[in-house]
Amino acid sequence: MGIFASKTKRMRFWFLLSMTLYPVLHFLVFTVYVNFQTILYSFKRWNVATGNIDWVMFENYANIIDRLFTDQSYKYAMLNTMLWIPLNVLVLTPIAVFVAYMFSKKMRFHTFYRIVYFFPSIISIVIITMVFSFMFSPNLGIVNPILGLFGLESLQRTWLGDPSTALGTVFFFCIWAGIGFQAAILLGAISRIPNDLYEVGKLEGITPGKELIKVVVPMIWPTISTLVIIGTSASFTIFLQSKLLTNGGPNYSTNTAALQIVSLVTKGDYGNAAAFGIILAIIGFIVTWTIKYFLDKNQTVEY
Amino acid sequence: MKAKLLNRFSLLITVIFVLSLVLSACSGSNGANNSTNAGNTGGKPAEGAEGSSEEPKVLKVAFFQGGYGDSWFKELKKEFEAAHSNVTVELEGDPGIMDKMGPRFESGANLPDIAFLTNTNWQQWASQGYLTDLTDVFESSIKSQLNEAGQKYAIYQDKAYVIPWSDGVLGMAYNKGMFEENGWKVPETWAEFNELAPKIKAKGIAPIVYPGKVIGYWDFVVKPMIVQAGGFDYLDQLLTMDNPDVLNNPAKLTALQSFENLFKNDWILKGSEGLNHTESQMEFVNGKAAMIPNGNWLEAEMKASTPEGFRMAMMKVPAIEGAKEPNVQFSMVGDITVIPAKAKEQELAKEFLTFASSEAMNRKFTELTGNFRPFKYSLEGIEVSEFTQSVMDIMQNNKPFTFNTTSPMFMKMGLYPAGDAYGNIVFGSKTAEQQFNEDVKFAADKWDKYKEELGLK
Repeated sequence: MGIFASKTKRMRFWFLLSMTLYPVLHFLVFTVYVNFQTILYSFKRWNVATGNIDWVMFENYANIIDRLFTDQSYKYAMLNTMLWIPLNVLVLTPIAVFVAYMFSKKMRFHTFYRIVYFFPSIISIVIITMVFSFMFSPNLGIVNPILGLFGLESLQRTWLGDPSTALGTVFFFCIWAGIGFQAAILLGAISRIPNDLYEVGKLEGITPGKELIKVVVPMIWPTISTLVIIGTSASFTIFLQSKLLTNGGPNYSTNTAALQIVSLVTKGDYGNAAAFGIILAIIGFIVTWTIKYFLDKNQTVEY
Repeated sequence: MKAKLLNRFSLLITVIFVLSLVLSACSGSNGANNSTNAGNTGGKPAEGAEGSSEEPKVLKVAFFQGGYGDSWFKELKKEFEAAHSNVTVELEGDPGIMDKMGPRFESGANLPDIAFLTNTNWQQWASQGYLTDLTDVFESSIKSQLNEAGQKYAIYQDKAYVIPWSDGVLGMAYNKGMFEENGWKVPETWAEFNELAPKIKAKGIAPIVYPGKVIGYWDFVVKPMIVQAGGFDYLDQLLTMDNPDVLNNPAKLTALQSFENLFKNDWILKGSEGLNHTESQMEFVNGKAAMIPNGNWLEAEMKASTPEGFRMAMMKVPAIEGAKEPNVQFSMVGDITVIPAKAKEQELAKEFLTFASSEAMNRKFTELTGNFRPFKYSLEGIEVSEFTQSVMDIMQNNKPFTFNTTSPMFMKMGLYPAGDAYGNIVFGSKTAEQQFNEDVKFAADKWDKYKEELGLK
């Protein structure tokens, strides 16, 4: 009788079922259902006065697009989200490649440095943002006194409270906290590069800088491009860093699109929140796909 | 063929079987979460109690466990159980309850019988039918005990859906020790403040510190100024908001401008703009600034970090020049008690609500938490701190007002429709006057659209 014909087959069936059931259910509920609901929500409006939930078709979308051009908080939200992409792709990943390369050279205390760099990835973001925020605190922090020590009083300021430096400081935090994770993944890739390649290089007499660019980077390109894709798509969901460091301020200068959605949801404005989410998803899809297209053109090394 | 069908069939059965197992496990674990008191769950009468008039009952009480702690609820449980031998009170205190109540109302699952919550979008819950109409209890036993602001707050669309839970004062706190040491008088008007501020600064102390990351704390200062300048008539107009022109009132502009002056005159602790509320309060208790916009919870919140011998008190927001109502206080009525429409023990919950509103229990609240209930009750014989005493003095000697509204338009438009007024003014991206004008223009431009969206057309 088919799958129940023999005991082994039966066992195999139960085994497969028990292994797949949870992920499939999880996918159906938390991905399919949730996304489907979001799409529906984006066409509805919650009315505070009457308690009705009305179909409003594309009004929420029109609202959001209008606000993106007129409302300061939305403008900043979108602009900053877009700035996060080059930050992740052009700043964070190259630094992480360099750091990983240095680790792979087994310089002195390299294990210690590896742990130090990876630390921010294992500590809760609430804690590290708090520590970071205290460091940069205008009167209690250590950053301003250190600047004073070097005679740089003119640079002392309220780093996270000044609209001209707040975003830069949040970006600095993201790099500081993000290197460890990317470097760990890249280090794994570097350690798989066959040793003969380095030896050939040495015989040819190349410098470490050339080795990094001509040998290491091409060899770990697939990993780098994965990190670039992750970094790009992550930019569209980033909000905790701003929320915890600056609460989106001062004067919205560190707001992000995802944070704006969070504040819409807190206000009970589910319709607009969902519409913004969908718009963001569409933009995110186009941007990520475009970057992926160019990365794929530039593939790949086999070894 | 038949075998294949049978296979499909058995597969289906298996899936359904496993699904039901998984799902029942889910609901089972929910059930376990509900009942912390094992052995007395479900609220159903036990079989053995048949015939007895005293059926054992369980009353589930959920509350926001924040600044007021849980001691008052433990006391309520003890006293209520003593008065009702058949009732067990289950307490669920949770600092994160505000994030969970919305979904719990929406799903109707795992609901408490009565909940004490912070102010939230309860008007929406009420209009969606999640809340029990408490008008009968309100009229019969609670209304006469409530203070003026509390009575007003309870009514939404002609019905009482919430009973206010706590009361207090929003305004400014000052460093009482520092003021007395230097012989400074607490400023009653902004003119007096303007005289005092340079003296404070001369001592190397900033007159004011505020939390720049939570800039809404300025509401506690600016809103009282609006009411001082415009009087209660203007407040009524604002909170009714039946035309866009209510925002075009000089009272609002005056208030914003005197707020702007604090920054123009540089009377703010340097770096305040980068502080969160805890950090700003640290600066205050460390004596770096003489005053801070805050509320009646400040003392309790800073208990652990206040240096020995530090003395603080609340002060009335100084009166604006030419104030119509110099003696007002921004009442904090806003935290709420609700009974979910789907609560199992409706009647018992109402009884509990009345019980919690009794004079004895109100006194207990102040005694145990150092905070206030929005009821008329005597505080004689209760020992309170200097800070609590100052809150009480302000509450008793000034006319209370709130910005609680039943107008959907005000809810949607707000006081500053053109955006973050305080941020714009503090960081100089707009002057008070620009902000004021843009608010007026925004309200006029969007009026019809908002009206339509609210279904008021």
